[in-house]
Amino acid sequence: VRVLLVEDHKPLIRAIRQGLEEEGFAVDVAADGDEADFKGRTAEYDAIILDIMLPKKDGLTLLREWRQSGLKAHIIMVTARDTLEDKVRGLDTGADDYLTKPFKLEELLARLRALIRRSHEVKDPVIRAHDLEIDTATRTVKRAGQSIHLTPREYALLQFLAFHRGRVVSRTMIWEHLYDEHDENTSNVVDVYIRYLRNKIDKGFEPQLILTRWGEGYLLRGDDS
Amino acid sequence: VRSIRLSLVLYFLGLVGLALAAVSFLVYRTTQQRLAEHRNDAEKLIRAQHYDRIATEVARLNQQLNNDADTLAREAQGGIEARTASQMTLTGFWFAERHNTPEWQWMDERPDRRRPYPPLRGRSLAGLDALLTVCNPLGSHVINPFWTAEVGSGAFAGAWHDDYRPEIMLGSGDLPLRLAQADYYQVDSTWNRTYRSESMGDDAFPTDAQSFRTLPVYKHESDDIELRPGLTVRRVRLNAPFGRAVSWPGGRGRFAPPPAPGGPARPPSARPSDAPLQPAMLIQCGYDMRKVTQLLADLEERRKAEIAGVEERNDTTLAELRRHLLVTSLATFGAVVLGVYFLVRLGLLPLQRLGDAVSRVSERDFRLQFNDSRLPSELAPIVDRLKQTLEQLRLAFEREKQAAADISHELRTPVAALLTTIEVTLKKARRPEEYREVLTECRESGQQISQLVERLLTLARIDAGVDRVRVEKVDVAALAEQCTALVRPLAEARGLRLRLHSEGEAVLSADPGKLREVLTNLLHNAIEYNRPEGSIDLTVARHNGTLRVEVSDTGVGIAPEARARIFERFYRADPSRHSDAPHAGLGLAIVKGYVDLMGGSIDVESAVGQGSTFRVQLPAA
Repeated sequence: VRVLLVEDHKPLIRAIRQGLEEEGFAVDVAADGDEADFKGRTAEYDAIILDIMLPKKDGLTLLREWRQSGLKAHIIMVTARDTLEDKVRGLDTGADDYLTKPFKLEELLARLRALIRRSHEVKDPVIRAHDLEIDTATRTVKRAGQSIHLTPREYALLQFLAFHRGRVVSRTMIWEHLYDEHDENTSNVVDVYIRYLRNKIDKGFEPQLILTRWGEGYLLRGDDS
Repeated sequence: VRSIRLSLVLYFLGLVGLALAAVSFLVYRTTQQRLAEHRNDAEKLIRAQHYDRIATEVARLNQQLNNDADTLAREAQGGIEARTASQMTLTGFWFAERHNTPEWQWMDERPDRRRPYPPLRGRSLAGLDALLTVCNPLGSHVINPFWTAEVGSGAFAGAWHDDYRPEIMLGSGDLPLRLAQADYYQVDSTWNRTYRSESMGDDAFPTDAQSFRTLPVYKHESDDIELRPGLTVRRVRLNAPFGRAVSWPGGRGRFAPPPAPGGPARPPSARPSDAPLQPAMLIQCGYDMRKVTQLLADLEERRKAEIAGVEERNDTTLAELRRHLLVTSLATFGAVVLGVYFLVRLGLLPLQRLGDAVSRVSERDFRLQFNDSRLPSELAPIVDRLKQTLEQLRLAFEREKQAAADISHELRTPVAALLTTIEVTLKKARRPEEYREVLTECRESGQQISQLVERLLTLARIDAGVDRVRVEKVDVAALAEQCTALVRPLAEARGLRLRLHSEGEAVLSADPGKLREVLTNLLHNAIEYNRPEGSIDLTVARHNGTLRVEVSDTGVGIAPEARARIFERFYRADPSRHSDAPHAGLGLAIVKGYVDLMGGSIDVESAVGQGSTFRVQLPAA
């Protein structure tokens, strides 16, 4: 899941980025309004964490412009402004959620997860496919009742496949949603992680859940297929 | 609590009441005076009428008295006329009888004619007898005094007549019993006989024989006389001839009749006193003077009644006027009460609307919702002032809100960073180097927070006025040197040239701590907003009795629109640079606060892209 973090305070950027990346998020950073505008329009983010007080262009203006131009990404405002007025204004301008500083990282993560679920129209935090259970809240995976340990990257890949289960996702989609701007785009990175994931999920289980469509991409087998 | 409406109404009503009272008083007073004048005029008129009436009445009384005298004369003469012929005849008889003339014999056959001869005034009868004897052949009538009087003239005829004419008396019915005005009358004849009215009793009008000669004939002589003690009478005396048809020697024909009552007075015909006294009567008549007194009293009564009538009418008029004035005043007052109540209400309506508009002002909406088009000119300054104040208040409120937001942002962001960093780090076990790194970061964040808090506190102290200036002698040049030395490493780390220009010692009384803070802040700004390879010049110089400290840089400069605001809190001309430095837009605010505290001033000159110069002027006391 790829997130754009728009924030101008460097220590905070560092902390949030680390916290998100350790949870398997791919994080892009924009330190001022213009940069955020550019990145928000050029890349496809699952969620945008947006501060209001920003150099060059403030968060509310950005939000309004983005929504006017049809930007679909979920946007959570993280700001020091805590009055009711500010919250109402932020949500009414088009934000999906509003969090005031200082905040608990856990809360930010939970809200992000909820936003992601919502974007894939999933309400149940536990995604099930055959005998595979993915608990998006605790980020644990079970196959046939057995816990499976996944690295954040692997989990992110599995969750992405799970959100699109029964549908083919291309390598590019995977790349765009799981890797941030600084990752090297080597063509087989996705393939390598798919292989890791297969080893942990499908090895020793039937049926095989992660399927390959040659020339198209991969998919997680849905209940009907 | 005083109500303007009530006060205005009361004042106005007081005025109206006074005005009404004054007008009423004036009207009443004027009318009163007019009526008094009217009364005086009326009184004069009445008095004149009164005197006129008295005169008329008295004249009428006197005229009637005169008429009464005339009536007496006329009646008496009438009686005498009737008697004179018989007297003549009697006289003839008497002569005939005395000398036994044929006439007497003829006459003697008629015994009814025989009667005693009236007493003669005459002298000696011997002379008469001698004359009778002489004249007998001629007839006794020749010497009849009446006949002599008819035909004769001269002194002898007169004396004859006087001496031998028998007395003519008035009969009891010859005088009237009742007269118009006269209460008393008395008639005296030349034969010294007196006739009186019964009312006279024992009293008598004084008379003397001379009156017949001194009083002109038919001339009324009027006087007041005391008839008896306590009875004063207005008397008229009239000398009248005895008869109209009787003539006597010396007379020329018959007497003319007496004048008609009330007719023009005949000119008195005076007779010489030595002329023989002709038979005449003196008529005196009078009325009781108490009649006049009574008349005067009656007229006086009438006059008083008339005056009283005028006064009563005046009083009635005044009473009516009082009533009218009272009713009119009360009605006017009532109308004014209502009118003033509504007028004042109407007049105060804008004030009420203003009050409503003011009470609608809230912290959410500072606008004064007031329709200016119907604003009275008296309220315009208040409304303008109020609008200005509200606008200033709104701006202050905005600034306050902005400052609160700024402070929360500036404080919460580093706190959030600190907390998040710690939280992330604690999620799992880290390597010792990682902990060290995180701790270093945390210390930086902590320092930043601490510095920010210090600056906020500084500003709060300046605002609260608790930050006292501790004045001592300071050598600004030396202080500048110290500050330069302090920031030089920072400047050199960025490749900036830092130069100090001073003209030796520049001592003044100032707070060295604050001055140092001002200089370091300005120098830090100059370093931070400079371009690479730029320069910074710090100049200390005396100028026109002030000490001038200038910090010039070769940085980005400040846009003109930002220049006015750079001393505001949290204002940053270039926000993008903020995250590199611990400043939160408070440095210049503190600088200005300190400079103001020390009684100095600060301004800035700047050209975008070329650099800025901050100039601090301090009083060189």
